[in-house]
Amino acid sequence: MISITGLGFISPLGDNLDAYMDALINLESAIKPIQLFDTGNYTACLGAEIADFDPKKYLTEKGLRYLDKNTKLVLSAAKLAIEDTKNPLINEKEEVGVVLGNTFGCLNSISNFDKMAITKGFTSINPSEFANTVANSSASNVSIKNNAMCMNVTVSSGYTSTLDAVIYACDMIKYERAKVLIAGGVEELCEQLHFAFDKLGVLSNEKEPKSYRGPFDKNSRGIILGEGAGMFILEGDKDTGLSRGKEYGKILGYGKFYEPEGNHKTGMYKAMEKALRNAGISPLDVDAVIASANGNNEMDGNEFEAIAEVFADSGDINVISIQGNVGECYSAKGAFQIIAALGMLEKQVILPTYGCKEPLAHYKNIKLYSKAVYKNIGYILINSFSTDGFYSSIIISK
Amino acid sequence: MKNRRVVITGIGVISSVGVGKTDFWNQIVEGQSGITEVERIDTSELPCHKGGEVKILDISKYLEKGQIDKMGKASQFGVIAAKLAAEDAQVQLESLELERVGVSLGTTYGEAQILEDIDDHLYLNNKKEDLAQLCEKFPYYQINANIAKVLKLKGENIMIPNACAAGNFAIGYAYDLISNNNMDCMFAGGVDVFSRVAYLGFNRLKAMAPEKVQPFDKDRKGMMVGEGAGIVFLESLDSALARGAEIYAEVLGYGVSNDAFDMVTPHPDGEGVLIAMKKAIKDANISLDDVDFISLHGTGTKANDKAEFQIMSQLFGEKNDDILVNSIKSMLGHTMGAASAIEAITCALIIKTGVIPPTINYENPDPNCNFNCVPNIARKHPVTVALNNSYAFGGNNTCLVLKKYHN
Repeated sequence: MISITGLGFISPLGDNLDAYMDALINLESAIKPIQLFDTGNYTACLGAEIADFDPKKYLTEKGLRYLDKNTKLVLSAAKLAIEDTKNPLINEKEEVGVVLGNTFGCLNSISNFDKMAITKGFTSINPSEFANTVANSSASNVSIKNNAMCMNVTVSSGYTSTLDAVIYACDMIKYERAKVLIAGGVEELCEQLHFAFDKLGVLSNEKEPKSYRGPFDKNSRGIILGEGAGMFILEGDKDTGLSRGKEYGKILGYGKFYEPEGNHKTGMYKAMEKALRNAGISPLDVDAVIASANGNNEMDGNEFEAIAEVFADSGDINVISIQGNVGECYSAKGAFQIIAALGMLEKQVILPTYGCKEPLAHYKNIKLYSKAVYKNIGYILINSFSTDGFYSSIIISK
Repeated sequence: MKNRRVVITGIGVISSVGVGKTDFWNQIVEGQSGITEVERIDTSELPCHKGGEVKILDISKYLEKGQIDKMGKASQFGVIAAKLAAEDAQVQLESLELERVGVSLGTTYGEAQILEDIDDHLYLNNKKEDLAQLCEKFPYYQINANIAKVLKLKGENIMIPNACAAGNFAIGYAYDLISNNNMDCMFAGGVDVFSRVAYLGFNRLKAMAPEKVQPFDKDRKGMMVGEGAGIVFLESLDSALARGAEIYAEVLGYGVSNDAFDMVTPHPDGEGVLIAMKKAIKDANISLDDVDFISLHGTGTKANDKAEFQIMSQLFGEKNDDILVNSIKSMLGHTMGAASAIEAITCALIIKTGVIPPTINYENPDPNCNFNCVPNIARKHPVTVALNNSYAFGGNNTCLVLKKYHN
C-alpha cells in the first residue's frame, strides 16, 4: 500500500481542502463564462477557470518570468504539498522524485513559439521560451525548484493522466526505485485547448451557468473544461521509522485497461474489476465511486452500466461526480477526484452530484445524491475514463 | 522484488539511413550518414539547413490507406516500427493473452507536424478542411494508442514524453512491468517526427552544426535534428525460451535521475548522470569492471561531449581509456524521443554481432574529450555488457544496461 502524506492543489474551487469540500458539499460550481480569452468564435463559452490565479501567492518571483501558466500551476501545487508533508525525506534530494500527469501542458507554449516563428520570422523567437515547448518542462521545473533528483517522469494519457501518473508513482515505490514521490496532474485551460475540444464537438453550448446540466444528466449538452493542478506526497507503507505526520489516506490498489476496439463499457468494467482485485477487496467493501462522468452522454451512460454491473451483487453503491463543480480538468481530473475522496474520508460524507437533475438512466443499485449525506466511508473507487480507449481506476482507503 | 528475467527478441526501427533492422544495421556499420538538406521546412532564414529526415520510407508499403488517413506521421512511424518488431520477433500475437501485452512509448514532440498544420490554419490562414480530425489525431498518446489498436493489444499502454531520454524511460518501465510479472510482453521504445519547433529552437539556441555532426571531435560545432522510431519487443526469458525465440540481449536493469539544475544546461559536475549510472549498475547487479561498451548521448555539442568525458573519467577512472564508446548521432543526428530507443537497439545488435558501428566525422581528437570512440570505421569487438546513456531537456538522465544472454 502507498500512503498519501501531503497534498497541495490549485483548483477552480480554491486551494484549501476545507473550502474545497465545503464547496462540493454545498453544491457550488466554478463553471461560469470564460474570461481569459474571447469565446466569440466558439460554440462553447463556459469554463471552470482559475481566472484570479496569482503564482506570486505561492512562489518567489525569481525565475517566474519565462515559465508558462501550466508550470506555475504545478509549481504552486507542489510547493503546498511539500510544505504539507512531515516526511523528513522530502529534503533528501536523491530520495525524492516527481511524476506528473500532463497532456497539453506545453500546447500553449509550443503553439505560441511556432506562431512567432511563422508570422514574425526566425529572429523574433525568444530562445528562453524554447525549453517550455517540451512536454516534460512543467514536471522538470518541479525538480529544479525543489531539488528532487531521484526521478522525473511525465505521463500523457489525456483524461486518465493523473491516475496513470499516480499509478506509475506507486509502481516506482513498490519496485523500490523511489521512496518519496511528488505525484499528481495539471491542465491549463488555454485557448488552443478550448479550440480543439470545440472543433471535436464535445463541449456544451450552454450559455447560462444556472441552466447547466452535466454528469449523468440526460439533458447534458456536453462537457465544460476546467483547469488546475493537484500534487500528492506518496510514500511506501512499510515501517521505515519515519515520522509521517498526517496520513490523508492510502492507495490500496489500482487497475488500468486499454480497449482497442472502442467498447467503452468493457474497458470501464475491466479497469474497475482490476482495481478491486489488485486492492484485494470485493465490490461489497466499496462505499462510494467517484465517477469519471462529465456530461458526455455516451461515456456517462457506459459508465453507469459498467458500475451497475461491477456492483450487481453488492447492494446499493453510492456514485458521485465532481466534474459539474470543477469542470472537466482533463489531465488534472484525477487530482481533484483524489482530493475529493480524501476529503470524503476525512469528513465521512457522500457528496452530491452537481448538474444532475434528471439521470440518463436508473439502475436499482446506483445511488446519486442531490445533497450531501453523512455516513461511514472506508473505501472509495475513483474512475478516470477516456474517449480514446484508456480506462484507469484506483481505490483509496482510510 | 524482480522475479523474471527480461530479454529483447524483436527489433523495429525507422531511421534516415534504413528502415527495418537489417537495412538500419548494415548502413550504420558502414558508417552511412543520413544527414541531408532539410525539405520539410523553409530553412532559408536559418543558419543551418541540414537534418536527419527520413526520406526512404514508403509508408504505403506497411499501412493501408484507411490506416494512414486515421493517424498522424508519428503514429505511422510507431505502428510500422512495432509491426517490424513483431515480425522480427516472429511472435504470434493472437496466441498470447493480449491483456498482458502492452505498449510503453516515449516522445519529445509527438505529432508535431499535425500541430504545425493547425498553426498554419490559425496563423497563416492556410486553411485545413479536416481540423476536427487533426485535433483528434494530435494528442501524444494517440501514438501508443494506435500501436495497440493495430496490434489489438489490451495491456499496459503508456506515453512518457520525457524528451530526449524518453525511449530509455519507456523501455525501463516495460522492463519493470515484465520482471515484476505485471505484464508478459511489451512493445517499448520511442518515436519523433521532424519538428519545426525543434529545428527552429535549436537553431535559435545556436546549438546546431551547419554541415555534419562530429561527436567528441575537437572541431565539433553542434547537434542536428533528426526523426525516427525505435521499438523493441520485450518478453520474459522463460517465454522466449519456450517459443525458441532468437534473443538479442538481456535487459539487466536501468537507472534514472534528474539534475534538478536547469531546463537546458546540464549540471556542471555531472552529478545527475553519475547518480543515474550508479543506480543502473546497482540495479543490474554488475560492477564497473563488467562494462565493455557505452552508447553515449554524444550530441556533438561542445558542452555535452566534454561533460560526458569528465563524468565517465570520474566514474571509470583509468578504465575509461579502455571502454569502447560511440555515438550514432554522428550518422542520424538527434532523433529526439526516438534517440535512446534506437541507441538501445544498436546496443542489442552490438551485443548480438560483436560489431561496433563507428562514430563518423571524427577528424581531430579533442584532449578534453578523448574517448575510445571507434572513429569512422566499425570495429569487431565482443561486447558482453553495454550501457545506453541518454540525457534530456529538463535535466533527465538515464542509463539502461544490456547484457549478452547466457543460458
